[in-house]
Amino acid sequence: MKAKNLLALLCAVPLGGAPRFMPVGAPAPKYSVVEIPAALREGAHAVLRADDEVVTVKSASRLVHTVHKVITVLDAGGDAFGRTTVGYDALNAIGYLRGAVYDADGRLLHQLRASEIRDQGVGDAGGSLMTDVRVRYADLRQPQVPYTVEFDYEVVSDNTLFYPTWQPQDEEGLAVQSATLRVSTPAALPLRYQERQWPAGAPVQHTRAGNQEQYAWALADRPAVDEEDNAPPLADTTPGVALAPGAFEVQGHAGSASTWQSFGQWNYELNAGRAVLPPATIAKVAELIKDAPDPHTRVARLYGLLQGSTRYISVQLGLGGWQTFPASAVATSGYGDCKALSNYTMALLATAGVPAYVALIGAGSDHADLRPDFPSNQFNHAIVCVPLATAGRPDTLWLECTSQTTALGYMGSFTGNRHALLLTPKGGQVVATPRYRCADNRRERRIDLYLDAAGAATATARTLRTGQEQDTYAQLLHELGPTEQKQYVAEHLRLSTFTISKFGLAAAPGAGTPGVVETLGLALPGYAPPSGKRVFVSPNLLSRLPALPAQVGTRQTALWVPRASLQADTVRLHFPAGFQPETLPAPVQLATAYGTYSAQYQALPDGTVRYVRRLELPRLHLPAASYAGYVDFRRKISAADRAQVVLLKTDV
Amino acid sequence: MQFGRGGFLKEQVQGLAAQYPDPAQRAAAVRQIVLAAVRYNGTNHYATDGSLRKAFDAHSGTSADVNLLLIAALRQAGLAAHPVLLSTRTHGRVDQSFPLLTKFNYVVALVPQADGKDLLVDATDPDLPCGTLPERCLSQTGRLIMPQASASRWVDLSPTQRHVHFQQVQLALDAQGGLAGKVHEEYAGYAGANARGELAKLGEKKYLAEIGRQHTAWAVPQAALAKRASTEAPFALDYSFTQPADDNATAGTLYLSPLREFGTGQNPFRHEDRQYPVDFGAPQEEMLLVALTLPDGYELAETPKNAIIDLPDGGGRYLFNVAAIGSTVNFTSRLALRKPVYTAAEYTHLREFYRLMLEKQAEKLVIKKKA
Repeated sequence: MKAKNLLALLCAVPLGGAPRFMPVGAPAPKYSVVEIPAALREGAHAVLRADDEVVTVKSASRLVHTVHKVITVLDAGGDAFGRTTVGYDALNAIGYLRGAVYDADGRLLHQLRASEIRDQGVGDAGGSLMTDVRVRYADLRQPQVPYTVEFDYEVVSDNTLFYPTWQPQDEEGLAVQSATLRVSTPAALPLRYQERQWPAGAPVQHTRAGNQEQYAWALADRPAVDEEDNAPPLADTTPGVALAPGAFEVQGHAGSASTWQSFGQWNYELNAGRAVLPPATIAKVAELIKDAPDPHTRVARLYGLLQGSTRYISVQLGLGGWQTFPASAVATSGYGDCKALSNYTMALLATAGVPAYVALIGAGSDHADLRPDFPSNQFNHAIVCVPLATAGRPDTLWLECTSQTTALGYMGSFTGNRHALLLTPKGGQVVATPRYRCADNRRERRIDLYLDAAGAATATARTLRTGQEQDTYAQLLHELGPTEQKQYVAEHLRLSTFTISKFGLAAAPGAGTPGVVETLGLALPGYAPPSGKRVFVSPNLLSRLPALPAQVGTRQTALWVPRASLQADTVRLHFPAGFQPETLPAPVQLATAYGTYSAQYQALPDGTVRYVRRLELPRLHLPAASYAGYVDFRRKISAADRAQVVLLKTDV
Repeated sequence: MQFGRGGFLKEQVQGLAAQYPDPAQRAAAVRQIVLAAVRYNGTNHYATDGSLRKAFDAHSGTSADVNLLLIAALRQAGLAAHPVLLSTRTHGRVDQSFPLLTKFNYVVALVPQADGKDLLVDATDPDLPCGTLPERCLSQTGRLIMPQASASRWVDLSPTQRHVHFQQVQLALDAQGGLAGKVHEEYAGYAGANARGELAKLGEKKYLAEIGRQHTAWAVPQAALAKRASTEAPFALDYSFTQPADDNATAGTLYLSPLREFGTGQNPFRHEDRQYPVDFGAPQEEMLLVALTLPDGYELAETPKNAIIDLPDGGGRYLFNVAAIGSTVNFTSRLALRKPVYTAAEYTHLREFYRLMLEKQAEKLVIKKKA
């Protein structure tokens, strides 16, 4: 109460000199919290009071995007909404950035001053040599909730490859009171758009004013949503509108994104003629392939040449993000970004008489698959596609050209399981990258678990991981030293108290998807302490899959498990003389739409107990109503994973 | 220095001298005003970039903006207040032999008390009571800066509070091995402040849903937070749960580890060796009381042994006590770590200490039918 009076007093009392932004007389209250309907406050940390965005296409090469956003922060959970960042670079300029913050009653607390806006570069410590991307950042967070922030900004873009995507509910806990999008474009440049998860009964308003086409969309009164477990990302579940150009022009290069063919054509032509290699490199290629007529061998050797003599460094300057620098530059400098290295690889292969194409792709283990029904720029990476044939059947090989350690043809979580745009002389063509299924993503374990009479245990484990299961371990193997590898493994073991007595990682040779073998020796004091005459030991040492928490309320979003996997464990339990297995857990068999699971125990004639566990989890995309069944499936697995063998002391 | 220009605060604090004659209470009231007026934005400085007025108008500022404003306000309210420079825990240790200003990155206020004690006041965290420094400030020593250099001195930043976690559990076991329980849980000291912060961030519904997330084998029909008291009082919640029987039950005999669901279950000290000290910030206390009612016609096959495990040099103690009274078995499990910081040499003892505690908590009770 006292604080409120304090702030009101501050607003009314004039300061030392007349400050620049204080209006004469108190301004009328705006966005007071009582105006928010109670239903919208339910389950929300913040409410989007207004999100009015205007996209004005000025020409094929210029676009202006203005945003007016008002958010009421209701509690500490919505704190992050009190700040805003606006990015810019050589082709995108910030016209203005203004802000203000109001209290619960709508009275102005503070107007953002130019000196309070921070400006800094966005570094990419991982691999950017040079990038022109910067941000302006404003922080209007307040000590007292609720409060309302208002931001106004404008970005003038000369990079019409990118049209904005409008998705007001892009975070959980944010309710939407009102959000509008208006787009204005010359009739000669018709707008392309795609409504996503768009509610019925709110059609786009399309009008014509003079030679301008106008479009308007509106959303209102949408309650906040939660990000549920094992659900698709919010971008796939909340309403929004994606925009894309037909004709566009960037730094003098004109093209069309209306079809994949034309978009691919633009990119192909932008990068054409840059695949000339210096004579020294051509000679090196000739040397490498002289005794290898088979194209598969040629690709393997040239990929080895690429990996052994170049490295990745990102250079994103203006159009440099899209036009490669010449293959000759890569040959002499030994480095390049994804386009340059892919282009260089294509040139090497062409010299060897193996046709190959650069493909644009949306890379990243979290990156969504291409939306083939909406030709537009959805890419952040370039790879190479080599169409080969084996025994008359297509046997396409895909090459990641930015890694010194990736196995030949392996795409993994980074670029696998999705679609890419092949850049051919005839234009763009959508193709699929390799799909990794359960049998490709394996985790196979053999463990020997030795128990002593006092209840301490030691174990040796050998684990083979293949495909996507080995992606993290391959990174550990190639990028970290043995001490850091061991540290990582120790940080992630779910065991009460342990000491790692032996540890090693090695690449697993063999055809098909690449693999990593991990050897682990563990000392486990007090793993199975005796209780009277009995010892309880859980043979599933390392592969316990946790159950999921019970669903609170009704499930709203689909069940989404993007990665397939197959786990196979064999554990031999060795126990000291004087003990006999008294009870072995009953075998478990689960065969459901969510996957299959089996666990069995067997007392072997040599006096040991063998535990065999097999879990097959395919990729899943199922309706929300199926989530309850999945929780039940996981619960049964978790209970079976914790089952214990009971040993009885026979010699008293 | 900015302290002389605190005139804009006069109106806000002038009534306080009369209202709170006791200096400690007055300091707390001034701190409340500053807490409500300026939000700590997460950046740590010991000096301001601009005027205090600017931070006050924007209602947002660094640790320097907030706490120097606090000092100015305390002085306006008639209290002697002086700045103490310190280095936050992640910023590195201050070496008392080498006077380097860059070693500091934070400032708090010191109000001398009548009994000679120092009252250290910080206004960046609303979840903490007055006189308790945020955990980031618990870096053993700070430097008091006085107008006369000779009066400046080192100040002890030992924590005035601990991390306290208390659980009182009533468990009922049925003849099939299923459990029904009622839990009263409290967080006090720094643990209370952290719980309050978590609650503010998640909201009540999600905070209580966390109980189910931590214990996936449970069904939690009821959970409620105690009426939210001030930052001085502990943070409390009550809930009930049921756990179905394991399919692996052996007929006639039941096996149960009643304490395991309520402990951490994981030794925080995973590696064999340690180069740097172990810095908890503040001493730790974990208290767990469990009253387990056995099913009718069942009794304990044997009573678990009591245990007392001590760290060397009085560094800490773990106490485990079991007492069976009729058909109820009462457990007491109490962990007390008395030092905020342990040297790297003490790491092996700490790791073994935790191992023994976890072993005790995992011990299985053997419950058999009465003869």
